[in-house]
Parts: sequence; structure tokens; C-alpha cells
Amino acid sequence: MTAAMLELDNIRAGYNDAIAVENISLTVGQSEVVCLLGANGAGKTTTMRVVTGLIPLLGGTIRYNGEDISQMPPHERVTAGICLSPEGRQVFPDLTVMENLSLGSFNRRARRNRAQTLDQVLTLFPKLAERSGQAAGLMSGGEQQMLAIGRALMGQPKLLALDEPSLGLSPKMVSTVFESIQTIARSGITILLVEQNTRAALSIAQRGYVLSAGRVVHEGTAADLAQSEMVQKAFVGAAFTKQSVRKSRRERRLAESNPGGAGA
Amino acid sequence: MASLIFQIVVDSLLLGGVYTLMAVGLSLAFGVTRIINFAHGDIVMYGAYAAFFAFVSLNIDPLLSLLFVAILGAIGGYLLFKLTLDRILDAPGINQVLLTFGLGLVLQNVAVILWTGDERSTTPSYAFDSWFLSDDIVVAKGRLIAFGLAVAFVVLLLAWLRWSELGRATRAVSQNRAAASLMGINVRAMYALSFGLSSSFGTATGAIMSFLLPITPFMGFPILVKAFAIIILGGLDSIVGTVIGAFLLATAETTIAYVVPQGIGWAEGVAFFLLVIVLIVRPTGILGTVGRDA
Amino acid sequence: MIAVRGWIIILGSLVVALVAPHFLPPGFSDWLTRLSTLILVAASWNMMANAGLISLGHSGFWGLGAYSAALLANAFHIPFWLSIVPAMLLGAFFGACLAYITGRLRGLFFAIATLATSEALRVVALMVPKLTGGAEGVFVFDQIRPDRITMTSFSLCLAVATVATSYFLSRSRYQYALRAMRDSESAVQMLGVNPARFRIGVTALSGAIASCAGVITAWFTGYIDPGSAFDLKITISAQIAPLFGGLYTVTGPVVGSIAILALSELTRLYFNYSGGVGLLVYGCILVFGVLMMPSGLVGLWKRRRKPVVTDAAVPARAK
Ligand SMILES: Nc1ncnc2c1ncn2[C@@H]1O[C@H](COP(=O)(O)OP(=O)(O)OP(=O)(O)O)[C@@H](O)[C@H]1O
Ligand SMILES: [Mg+2]
Repeated sequence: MTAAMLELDNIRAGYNDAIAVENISLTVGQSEVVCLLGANGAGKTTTMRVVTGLIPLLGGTIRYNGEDISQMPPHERVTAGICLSPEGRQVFPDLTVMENLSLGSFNRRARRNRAQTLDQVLTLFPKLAERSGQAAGLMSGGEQQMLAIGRALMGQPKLLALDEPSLGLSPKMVSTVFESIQTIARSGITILLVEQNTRAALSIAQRGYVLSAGRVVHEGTAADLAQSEMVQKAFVGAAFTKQSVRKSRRERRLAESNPGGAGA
Repeated sequence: MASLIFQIVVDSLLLGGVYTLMAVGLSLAFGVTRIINFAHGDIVMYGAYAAFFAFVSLNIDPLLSLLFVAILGAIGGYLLFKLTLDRILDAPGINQVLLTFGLGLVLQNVAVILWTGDERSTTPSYAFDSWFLSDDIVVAKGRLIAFGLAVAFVVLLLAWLRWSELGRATRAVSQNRAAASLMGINVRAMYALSFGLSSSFGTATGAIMSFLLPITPFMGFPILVKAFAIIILGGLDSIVGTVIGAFLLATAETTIAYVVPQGIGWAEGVAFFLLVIVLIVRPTGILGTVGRDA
Repeated sequence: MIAVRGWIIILGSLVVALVAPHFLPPGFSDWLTRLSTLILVAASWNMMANAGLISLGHSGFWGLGAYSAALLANAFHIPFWLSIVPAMLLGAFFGACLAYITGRLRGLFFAIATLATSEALRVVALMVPKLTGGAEGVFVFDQIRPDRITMTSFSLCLAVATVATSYFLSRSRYQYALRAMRDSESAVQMLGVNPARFRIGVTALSGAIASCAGVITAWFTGYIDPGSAFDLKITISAQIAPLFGGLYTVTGPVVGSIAILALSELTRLYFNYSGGVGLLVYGCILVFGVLMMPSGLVGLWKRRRKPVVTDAAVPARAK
């Protein structure tokens, strides 16, 4: 394993009075692709929120390139190179696709090379170029997902965090998106990936962690995890049989809990 | 009859411009922070006093002092936010209502103590000029100037929101603050900025009103309520909605003032009645996206 | 057991309210009358705040009470204690209507709606002089005005009754529903309470009590006009007293009323009542109260007696 880029040490976090994740320790090495697996409600999204600073850390430390960023506000983490494509996409619905992308490179570091990054992102997702003048809220779910990833890329991440990038996509789109992620990974960007689609995730990740009820219950190389009895049973099986049903239900839940994406 | 209608149209149009300017700051700050600033009317009042004193002691025309007044307003609003609201952003909404309400009281009564309740006004020559479009249709020059300035300011604001880096960030924050912070936007700083900008619009409105209305420490409250009516009509966080709301209120007031017996008195109440009716009939306003659960 | 103690305190206060005014100097007696009216509006405002309803329109209830009492008394020569009945009914009715028509509005929007309604009432009072005397106001017939001692006793009794009402409300099963409504109405539904009916009930009760304060003032001063009866200052003091004393508590509005009335006397002594100082003080109380002691004087007192462990506040939303 190369030098650790991101290091979570015994972190704890939650919402109001409920603790959602506890004792989570994990590392992500430079230029590595690491995936977080786990059932619904396991705490994957919560972990991503803590890493990006959207919710406060209640215990433990987060180190990024050796520096303690536990108390750093989210916008500074973005400037430092941690960019998230959040669960449920969270695009700015009334802004155009191009405005969404430009906002992705709001941070000082990325703003300098905006035009160049934009070219790269539009090459990766040509669909976004076609729709550049359209309001983001009027795009299809899959297109919005591409926009969310593209927007995160516009921030010129050193560590790209992707929370369920395949959520709500057709199988064809899923493979497109995973190809794109692989392309991104090859360009040297470190990736922390949360996925329900275990098989696809393990096919591009080098290592993975399995979360259950807010704790890490299993970790290992992608090959190990793919073989692991437990992971097979717990997720892969379920993913094959119930995937489509669960997805649509989750989609609906997300839409209800976050109408128009407004108001956090 | 025809000329009465025409006069109503002209007056509504001119009044609507100032009303837009008066409400647009409130709407901007609300869009970004989801906090209604109950002290907005008093900020307008301070703008009017600033222009007044510039006029009487330094002999500066309100149209000239306007810029400085706006800049002072921006600084004042920014500081006010940093010193007070910034500390209770995570508190329940009731605290924010009470706080800005209290700030308004403080601002108003400091003015009462400093300058008493006497009515004042700036008296540049154009304040008394008017043109006759025909025998019985009058255009007051002061109002026309105010209208022009209001249009210019609102267009500038819209352009800033549309094309500038920070304007875009402002719109992003008002749509989804969590996502905005994921863009590297310092959301709290944007709050303070929007408050500063909002106050600067407030004081600029005051400077313009200094030659239209009598200046007293109590002028803030009716302004506040009218601004409420306007932005609620327009849907709170939509600038275009605010413009529409402003012209609706202006038209309603002007029409009633001309048509109803004793209309001037009733016109002062139009904003209240409109507010109540809109809140009941269409709580999301004309162009609003905001659910009324704030 | 505690309920018994509550009853004893209430009965004791009533006796004091009936007896004490006979032995007090007139100035102090008047002060108590004004204190009672303040307690009435403050406690009634606090009842609504308890349910998460911020009213910026309590002056509307006050004005309704004052006008209905004065006009009815003048028209039918009803005695002052009877005039309170139609006034309370009107206040309750108006409160119920307000809660009903603002049914979907929450927090901020409810507050603005109440502010607008009370101001609309003021405009009506001003613009319908045939009924209300317009800007010139109304004088209450002097012959039927009660004497000072009766006035003070009567107002004190009303204040005691109001505090008793909020005390029993706070001990009833509704308290949970009220508190839950402050957080979210959907949670209330799960408690098996119909939030819409509840809102109407609380607002009607609050309106009835606040209009009593208007009635007292009308009889006490013998004269009302739209500016004084629908004065925004009434609303302001209605919210400052509970905030200063302690929001959501029974004693808060009482402690707060006494404190701010004493404070305003003091400032009047010191500053010769130059306009604005009193309200400036109120404004400062609001600002510093919200910023520094959100649980009020009562909260400070409680904290002094038993240290409260402040839970580490976790902001639910991202900063
Ligand atoms: N905004 C929130 N407020 C309160 N509780 C929350 C919130 N978001 C998540 N939780 C709770 O935290 C726990 C972990 O949720 P989290 O979203 O991290 O799960 P997840 O692993 O991402 O699940 P999924 O696969 O469904 O996305 C759950 O019990 C959930 O109920
Ligand atoms: Mg998740």
C-alpha cells in the first residue's frame, strides 16, 4: 500500500442524538480506489459526510495527507482537494448544467484551470455538453448523476468521493459511469467509492471495507472481498435479485426526503 | 376617465420601481439565509437620515451621496450580521425572528433619541418639479428619477447574480446550502455577504426616499410591512417575483388612493390586507419555490 | 400533591388580589393594574409560543378587546365586569379565525400573517369612524367607570386566573402535544392529537386572554384610539416579558413582566422619559436575551440551583 492519503481513526458521528457510525477506521492510499460496501443504513453516506465535513465529527480524527482536518469546515476541505459527488446527486436544480459545472470549480485552486478541466469533463461526459444550457433540475436522473460526478471533477479533486454513482441508472449507463470512474482513476485521482452495486464496485476497486450497523465488519483487497462468503451472501446475492426493486424504492425515498434538493 | 386611468398607470409604475428596490434586499437576504430581517425597514430609515445629513450639513445631493450611503449600508449590514445573527444560525427560527425584531427596535429608538420624532426631508430642486404630459397627467420629477435609479440597481443586481462568480455562488447557496459547501463555497461568508448587500440596497432605498417621503425614525415599520407584502406576493426568494409583487402593490395602492373615497388612508392598509389574502390563498406567492415550513 | 399546592397558591393569590389594593398607595395600585395587563398579554403570548406559534399580532387582540368593551359599554351601559365577556368571546373568535385561515402557515409566515392582521385591524379602526370614532378615538362614559381599587383587584384576579390557566395547561396531557408541536406537527399527529384543532384552540385561548388586557386598559384609561389600542409596543412587550423571564415556562412571563415594568420605571426616572429610551431598552433585552440567555431569568435561577448539563449541541444541518 502506498502512503495514506486519507486516514480515519476511530471516528464517530451521527445526527442529533442518534449515533450513526462508530469506531470506524480506514485508510485510502495515494492513487488508490477504495470502496465502502454495506446494506442500507449501514452508515456509508454518513462516513462520506464526515469525510467532507458536512456533519461534525463527534470523536476520533480524520487525517488528510498527514494533516489533521477533523475540525476543518467543508469548503476548506474542497480547496484542499476533497470533492464529493453526494448521494441523491444534489445538483442545483434551477441553475443550468454549465453553471453547475462552473460552480464545481469555485474553489481557488480549480478556478485557475477551469476551461481546461471543463474540456476534460465534457470529453468524459459528452451528454453534458449537449445539455449545457438546460436547467439541471429538468434533466433525467442519469444525466443528473453524470452532472454530479462532473461537477465534483471540476473541483480538480485529489481525493474524489463518490456516493452511489450508479444509483438510479440503467444497466447500460451503469457500465458507462463505471468506465468513466476507471478513466478518472487511471489519471491518478484517488477515489473513495460507496456502492450498492458490489460486483461493479469490486471490479474497479483495489481494496474495500464492509460496513454494518455503523461499524467496519470486514476489510480486504477487492479480490478477497469478492471471494468472501460473507460479502457474497450479504450483498452480492441481494444485489442480483432485489437490486431493481430496492433501487426504485430508494429513489422514491430520496425524492420525498429532498424535494427539489433545496434546504439541507 | 381615460386620463385618470393613465395617471394611475404612470403613478403605479413610478411607485413600483421604488418598491422593488425597497423589497429586493429583503428577498435577497432571505433567499440565501432563510432569515427574514425584521430590521430591514429601519436600515432603510438610516439610509434616509444619512442622505439627509449629507444634504444639510455637507450640501451633497442625495443622488450623489447615494453611493456612499450604499457602501456604508453594506458595511453596517455585514457587521450587524457578524455580531448577532451569525451566532444563532443553528438556533430555532423563533430566536431569529425575535433577534431581528429586537435589532429593529434598537435601531429605531437610537434614531428617536438622536434625532427626535421630527419630520425632515432633503429638498433638492427636482423634488418639487413635475412635468405635465397632458393637461391633467402629471409626472413628478423626483419619482421619475427614483424610478430610473431603482431600475438601474435592480438590473445591476440581476446581472451580478447571473454572471458573476459570487452571484452564481449566491444562487447556489439559496438552492442547496449543503451542496454549495461541497463546491468550496463558504456558506457562512455568503450569508454575511448577502446581508451586507441587502442592507446596502436598504440604505440606497432610504437615500432615494429622502426626497420622496418625510424622514422620521418611524418610517421603517410601514416600509417593512410593505416589503413583506411584496416579497410574499412574489414568492420570497425570487427577484423577478419581487419585481412583480412590487408593481402589484404599487398598482393596488395607487388605484385605491385615486378611486376609493378617503383612499389615501385606506391605501396605507393595502399592504396588510394583501399580505393576509396572499398568505391564505396562495402561500407560495406568485413565483415562489419556498415551502412555507420555514 | 403538587396540584393541591398549586390550588393553595392560586387561592392565596386571589385573596391577596382582593384585599391588598385597599391598603396600597394609588400610584402602586395603578402600577399593579398595568402589571396585570402585561402579565395577561405576556402569558397568553407565551401559550402560543409554547405551541411553536410566534405571534406578532397580540396588539390586535388587545385592540379588539379594548374597542369592543368601550363601544358596548357606551352603547348599552353594561358594567365593566360584564364587558369582559363579549370581549373575550370576540378575541377567542378572532383567534380561532386567525388560526383557521392561516392553517398551512408555519413559523415565520404565521408571524408575518399575525402582524399584518393586527395592522389591518388598526387601519379599519382608523378608517371606519362611524363605528370607532376614527382617529379621534372613543371615550368611555365616566359614570360607569369603576373606582381604582375595584379596577386593581379585578385586573389582579384576571392575571392570577391566567397564570393558573397556563399552570394547569402545563400539567395537563396537552403539554406534551404543545411541546411536540413546537418541534414538528407530524410528531403531534402521532400522539393522536389533531394539530389543526389544537392550533385553533391555543390561539383562541390566547386571543381571549389578550383581549381581556385590552378591556382593562380601556376602562382604566377611559379613552382609546387606534394608535394606542393597536400599538405595536403591546406586541413587543408581550414577547419581551416571556423572553426575559423564561420562554415556555409558567413563571417566566410573570417574572419577566415584573422585571421589565420595574426596569421601565427606572429608566423613566433616570432619563426623564425622553422618548425612545424605554423601547431601546426593550430592544436591547430582545437582542441580548436571544444571544446570551435564551432561557431567561427563570433559567438563570434554575441553573444556579441545580447545574444543568448542557448537551453538546449537534447542529442537524450542515454548516
Ligand atoms: N439526515 C439524517 N438525519 C437523521 N438520521 C440520519 C440521517 N441520515 C442518515 N441517518 C441515519 O443514519 C444511519 C446511517 O445512514 P446512512 O445514510 O449513512 O446509511 P447508508 O449506508 O448510506 O445507507 P444507504 O445505502 O441506504 O444509502 C441510518 O440509521 C439513518 O437512519
Ligand atoms: Mg447512503
